[in-house]
Amino acid sequence: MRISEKWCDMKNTCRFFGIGGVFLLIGFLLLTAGCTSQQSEQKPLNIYVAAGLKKPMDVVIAKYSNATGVTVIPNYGPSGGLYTQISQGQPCDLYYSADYNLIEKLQNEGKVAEAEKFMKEFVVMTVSKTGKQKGITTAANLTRENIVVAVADPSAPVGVYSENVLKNLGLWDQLNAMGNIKTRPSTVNQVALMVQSDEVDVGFTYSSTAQLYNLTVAEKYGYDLSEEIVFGDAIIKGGNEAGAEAFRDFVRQNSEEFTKYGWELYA
Amino acid sequence: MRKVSSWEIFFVPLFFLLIVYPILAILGNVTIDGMVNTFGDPIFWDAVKNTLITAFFAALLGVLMALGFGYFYIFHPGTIIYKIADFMNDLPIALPHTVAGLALLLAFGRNMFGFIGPTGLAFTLIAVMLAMFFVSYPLAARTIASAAEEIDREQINVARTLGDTPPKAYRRVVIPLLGEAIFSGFVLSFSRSLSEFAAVIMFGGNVPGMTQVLASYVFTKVEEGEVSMAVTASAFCILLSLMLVLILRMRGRLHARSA
Repeated sequence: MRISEKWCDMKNTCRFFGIGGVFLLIGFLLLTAGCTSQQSEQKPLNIYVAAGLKKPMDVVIAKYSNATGVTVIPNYGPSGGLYTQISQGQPCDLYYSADYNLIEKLQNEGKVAEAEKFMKEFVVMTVSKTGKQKGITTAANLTRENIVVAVADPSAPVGVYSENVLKNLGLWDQLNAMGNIKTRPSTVNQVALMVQSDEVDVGFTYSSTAQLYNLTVAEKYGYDLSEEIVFGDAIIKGGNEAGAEAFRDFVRQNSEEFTKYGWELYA
Repeated sequence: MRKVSSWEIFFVPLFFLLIVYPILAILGNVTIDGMVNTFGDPIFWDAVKNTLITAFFAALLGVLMALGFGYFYIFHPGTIIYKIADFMNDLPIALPHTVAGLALLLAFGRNMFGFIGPTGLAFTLIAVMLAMFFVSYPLAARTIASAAEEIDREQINVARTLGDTPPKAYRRVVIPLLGEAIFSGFVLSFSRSLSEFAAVIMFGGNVPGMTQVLASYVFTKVEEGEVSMAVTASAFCILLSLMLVLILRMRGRLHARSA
């Protein structure tokens, strides 16, 4: 009896150490992972990039890696999602946002070392094959019966800008009441895809997206309607700030990769 | 006191760290502000309503289809149809869900189904339901098939020798024996449907107040940077799912008692 009790005690101690051991092991693994990334000579660069910039950015990254040997790890996604990740402290050195307001939000949170406005973008109305057959040439046509319109979800900045355009044209409430806005995709690329595959009549995208997807642009809207659309870059505090600055300057030197898709340099 | 095996030592801390802790992290981050904003948002309640209705019908269709699959499983496991269906059961699970959404859009959008309406089946609550069904049906089919495996073939054979046709034997003998599996299949595919958003956004429409569901509401709030609202809506999702699990458990206990 007594012996078995003692055995139990030992077992409990064992369990305690076992549990502690597992935690220690996890901690150790995390620490070593952290160390190795700091020890390497050329620190890899974590950049968070608005999904719309993927095509030209991939080209610039490849050029940069060839020239300097630095590994650049891009994380493409909707600007708002990337903002949330950075704001929650995920390691990021440089952030390219399709919405300068998000950079200003990060600045208010004290996360930004240096930020600047990079490029100007415009909202356009693209029409699909069927959209053309229905004779849609201007936004005012959208309030006809049975027009299928795609406007990105407000989680993507293009969704907010497109809403602004339609609101300032005085069409937004009417379109919603009619139910002509049939879909709110979560990225500008999904909108473009729906126009390209003719699943909708009209989609609001960026001018660069329309060019990338070879879409027919019916109307281009000025900043008086959409608000200023500025792509910005921000060097994030606490990361590889020197590396981020070097890469940002390299991107600036290669801005023709971006302007050929319809973006305009901010200054 | 019983002996503690090394399996328990391995399992318990990791279980709490990797499964329980993240869920508690969501619940612990709920703020009054977030609750006021979220529960005061009519769009949120529209999303809840849309989710419950479409997930219910998706699960219902899922179970009916799964019963059809079970029929093939018991009576015609040698047929090509069964083999294709069995093989395809894995596909929706392995497919990235934006791909599933795109596939559904191209298949049921207006280019193929334009005779139904200006957008085909796409961008309607039916589309939301179909997207949910597409990703959750395999779970129901699995549940039914593994329960059908447990059934004593003798009972089916007896019914058959007494003159029941396969459909009759399936209805009168097999389905009553599957009772519990049908219920868990339903709850499983219902819960899977609750969590689906990528396919639903792409094919369902995601128009707030019309075709938006709870999962895409949360996604949208995260992307908009409205973290406190996203957290509240997520906590709501977690409680909803916990309730479902509880129902499943209670139902299982009642069944065990009556058996």
